[in-house]
Amino acid sequence: MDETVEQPILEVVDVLHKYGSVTALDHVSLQAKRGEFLTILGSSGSGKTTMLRVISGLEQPTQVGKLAIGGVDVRGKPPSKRNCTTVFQNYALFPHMSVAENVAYGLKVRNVPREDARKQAMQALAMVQLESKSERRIAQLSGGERQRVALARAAVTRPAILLLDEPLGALDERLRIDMQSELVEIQRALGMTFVYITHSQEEALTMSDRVVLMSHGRIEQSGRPVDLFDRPATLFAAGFMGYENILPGRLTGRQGDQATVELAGGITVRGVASEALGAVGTQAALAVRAERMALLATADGDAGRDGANVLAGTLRKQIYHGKYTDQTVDTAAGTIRLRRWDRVPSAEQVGAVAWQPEDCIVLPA
Amino acid sequence: MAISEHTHLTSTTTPQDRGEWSYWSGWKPLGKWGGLLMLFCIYFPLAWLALMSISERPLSGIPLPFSLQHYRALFADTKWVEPFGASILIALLVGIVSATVATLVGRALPRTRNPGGLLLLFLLPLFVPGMSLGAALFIFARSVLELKLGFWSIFIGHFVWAFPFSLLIILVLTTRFDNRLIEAASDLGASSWRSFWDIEFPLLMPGIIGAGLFGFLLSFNEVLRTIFLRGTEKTMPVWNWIMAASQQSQVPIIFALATIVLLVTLPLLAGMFWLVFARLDKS
Repeated sequence: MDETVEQPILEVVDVLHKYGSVTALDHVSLQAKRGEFLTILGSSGSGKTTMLRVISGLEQPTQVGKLAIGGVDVRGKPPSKRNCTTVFQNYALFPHMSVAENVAYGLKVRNVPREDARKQAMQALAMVQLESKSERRIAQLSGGERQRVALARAAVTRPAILLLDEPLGALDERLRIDMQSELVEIQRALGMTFVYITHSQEEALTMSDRVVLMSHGRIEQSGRPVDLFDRPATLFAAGFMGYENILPGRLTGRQGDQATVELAGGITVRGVASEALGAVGTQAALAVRAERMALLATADGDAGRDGANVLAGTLRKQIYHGKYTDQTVDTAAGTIRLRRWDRVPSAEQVGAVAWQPEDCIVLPA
Repeated sequence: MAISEHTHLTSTTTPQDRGEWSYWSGWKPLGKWGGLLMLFCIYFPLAWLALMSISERPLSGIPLPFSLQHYRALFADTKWVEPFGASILIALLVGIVSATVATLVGRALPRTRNPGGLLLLFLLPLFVPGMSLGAALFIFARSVLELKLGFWSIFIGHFVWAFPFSLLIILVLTTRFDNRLIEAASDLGASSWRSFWDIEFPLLMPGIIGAGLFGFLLSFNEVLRTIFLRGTEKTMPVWNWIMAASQQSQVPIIFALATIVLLVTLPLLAGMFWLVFARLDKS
């Protein structure tokens, strides 16, 4: 953690933004290190796009404590005077210019000599493997190609920060997966700071150095992808990160990062304590992923003695999805969902579900 | 029995009876020949005018023998040059000014709170009878602006008349304009002045040219409002009308002049329609 040593390339402190009476950003602060791939994750209406527009200058915030790019205060400055560029969700390519003219536009307005601009634009197009289409019109390109042109156009001026607003949203799945790894490669090669907006937790987990999860104009949690995936800090984060099983209960004990919870039905289980957890006796919730659950024949086997959490239950439903199988088990603590990636025996005796304490997290309810 | 027969009859004949005239096989040929007749009515008189202008005795209605004597007379006579020049000058001015103003207003209008109501106000002059608007502008120019009737009062009248058309043409483009392109340009470092000239202006260009051409043609053809506003100034159509109404001997010259005007305006019109419909559709 050398964050304190090195000056952050992006520093946003206490930004508040309102559209009329609606608060889009509610006192948010954000930092990015040089060369970091930072993802702002959130559903629509979470304020993530507003955050991006505030950074780029396309939106002037109602109030902001500090807004600095590369150490330069950019508060009140127009987008053209900020050392960052945006890859827009709809690409916003200029339809009356060729691919090369689009990419060279940022250089043209900076009065870079025509020959140099041309050379740099071709290099940027080579980076996204489109130099052969430099003379095409935008209308002649496919969606994936447009996306690449938008990326080349934004990166060609070598901004301190590249802002990407759901750039893969309009692409089909196959192309999206290819572009994910390509974007990361380009980011590493350029050594540029990327601030990436997405609603897809998969994109966030795959590409980012750090993920900021936003909800209702606030930052819900921020951390490494693995932190968000395995250690969500709040119920919202757990739900957003795809925890299928969230069981309500009461906190009965806490020891370091271990917590015990009494679930409905009176069974006590153990899990990893979230930092924000309240005092013993308060309401809590237990979150476990479906694929971390296992089925047992009976509730009183060896598993419980090994320290696993065990809940007696009966198999209600089983849906085959090809790659995996989803199972639903009724227990006294509620309905538990399981996902099994191994081959499922057609006739299986089910008496209980079990999971390891380190695979579940105890959250404040 | 009788009832069942009755119901049987109605159920089989009524739908056919009702719909028969709309299924008549003659509609399509009628439409085709009717359309051709209309085209004839439009273009034959124009072609006949051109033919008569190169005939020796146009008033006789017989084309032969051909002669260019009326064109010679026209170019020997210089009385028409001044009104022709005035018309061209006013039309050019109206075209340029209405294209410019329509571009400014057309960019601002979609961003206002009530664009529909404002647009209606702007378009209303299209439906005000030319006589009423001419009379109103006559009073306005004389007593409010205290203008000496002539070139500038005609210009104002023509501008008021042409502006709604120009605005409509510009609005076709500005209402569909993607403002995110402007955001992208400024995000890439362009000042608002720069992004207007680099991005918005070229994309609005077909509409601006269309608006200018429309303004030019509307002004060039305008008579009704001009009559009220001209004072002693003569424009081309007004001079034509005075000549045709008073001196029979001048009519052959007018045929020649009208033909020349036709040869100037038709290509302009064709170019405009190509711009507005063919080019705009593509972008």
